[in-house]
Amino acid sequence: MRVVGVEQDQREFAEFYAAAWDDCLRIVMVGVGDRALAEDLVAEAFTRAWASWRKVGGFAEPRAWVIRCALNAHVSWWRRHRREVALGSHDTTAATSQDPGLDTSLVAALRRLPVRQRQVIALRLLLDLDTATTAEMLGMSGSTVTTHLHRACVALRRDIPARNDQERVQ
Amino acid sequence: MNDDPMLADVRDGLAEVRDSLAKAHPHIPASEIIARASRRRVRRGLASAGAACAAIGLTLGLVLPSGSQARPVHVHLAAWSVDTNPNGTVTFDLRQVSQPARLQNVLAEAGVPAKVRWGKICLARGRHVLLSTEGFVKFSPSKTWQDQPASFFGVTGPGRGGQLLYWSWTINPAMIPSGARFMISAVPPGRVPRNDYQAVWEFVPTSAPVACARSMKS
Repeated sequence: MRVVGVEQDQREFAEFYAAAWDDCLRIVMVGVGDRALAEDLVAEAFTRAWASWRKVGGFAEPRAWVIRCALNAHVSWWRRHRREVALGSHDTTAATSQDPGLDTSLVAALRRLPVRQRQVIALRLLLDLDTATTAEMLGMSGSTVTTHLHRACVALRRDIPARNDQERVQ
Repeated sequence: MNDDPMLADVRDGLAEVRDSLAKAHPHIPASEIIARASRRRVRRGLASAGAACAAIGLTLGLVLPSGSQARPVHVHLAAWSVDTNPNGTVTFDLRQVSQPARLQNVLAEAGVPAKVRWGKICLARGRHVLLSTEGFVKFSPSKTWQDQPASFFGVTGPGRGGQLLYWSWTINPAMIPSGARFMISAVPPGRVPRNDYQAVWEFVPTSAPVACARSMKS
C-alpha cells in the first residue's frame, strides 16, 4: 500500500513539475535577473518541494511555495556570494543574462527591494494570488502583505520615472 | 493615495517582462529531481547517525572495490553538468562557471580533482608545469570540434555578454595521476579586454603555485 502511495505521489509531483516549471522559472528570473541562476534555484526549490511533497502538495498553490523557496535560496546564495567577493572578485551574474527582458530598469528596481517585498510582488502580482493566499504562503498577516505590496510599488514607481512619464503621456 | 492605478502599472510592467521571456522546458527530468531529494535524505540520515558513521564508513570501505573512491554522480545544472558513466568515465560539460565551489565538490565526488575559480583567471606558474592527459582525458572545446587529448585550453576576449562555453570532457578518474588536478577559471565574458583570457583550463601538479588575476594576457 505504501509503495502505491509513493508511486502516486511521484506521479502527482511529476505532473506538477511539468506544468509549473515554466511559470516558476519566469517569475524567479524576474526576481533574480539571471536565467542560469534562476534555473538552478528553481531546480533546488523543486527538489525541496519533493522532499516535503506531502505538505507542499496539499497547498492550494504549490507554485507559490516553490517560488518562495527559490527566492529564499537566492538570499542564501547571495550571502555566500558576497563573502566570496573579497577572495575571488566575484562579479555579478547580470553580465551573463541572456534575456533582453531582464535588463530593464523595472527588473533592476525589483532586485533592489528587500526580499519580503520581492516575495510579495512575486506572489501577488506575478503569480496573481489574492492577499489571503499570499499571506498564508508567506506566513504573514494580510495587512502585512498589503503594506509590503504598497511599499514595493512605491519603490518601483519611484525607480522608474521614465516609465511613469511615458505612461502619463499615453 | 490611490493605490489601484499604481498597482496596475507595476503589475502590467512586471507581467510584460515575465511574458517577454522565452518559453522554456525543464532540462532536468522530474525523476532526477526526485532522485536528488532521495540522495539528500540519505546523506542527512547518514550525517545524523553520528558515531555510527565510522562503522558505516568501514563497511563501505570493505564493500567498495579497492582503489575506487569515486561515487556515481549525476548533477545537471544550467551552467554545467557532471555524469559518471557505466564504464567508469566521467562526462563533464561546462557552459558557464557558475557555483564554482559546488562544481569543485561535485567533480571531487566523481573522482576528478579540480580547482575552480570564477571572476579571476588562474594559471599555474610556468607553462612547463603542464602534465599530459593522454589516455584519460578527451576534450571538446566546441559543438563542432572532435574530442582530442589536451592539457591546456583557453578562449580569449572580448566576448559578447551571455556568451556560453561548449566545453566537454570525458575523463577516466582511475587513470588520473595522484598529485595532479584540473585548474578551471573564467571571468564574465562582457568585460574581457581583447586577447585576454575569458576562460581557461589546464592540468597541472597540485603543488604548483598558482597566479590569479582579473585580467590575463593569452
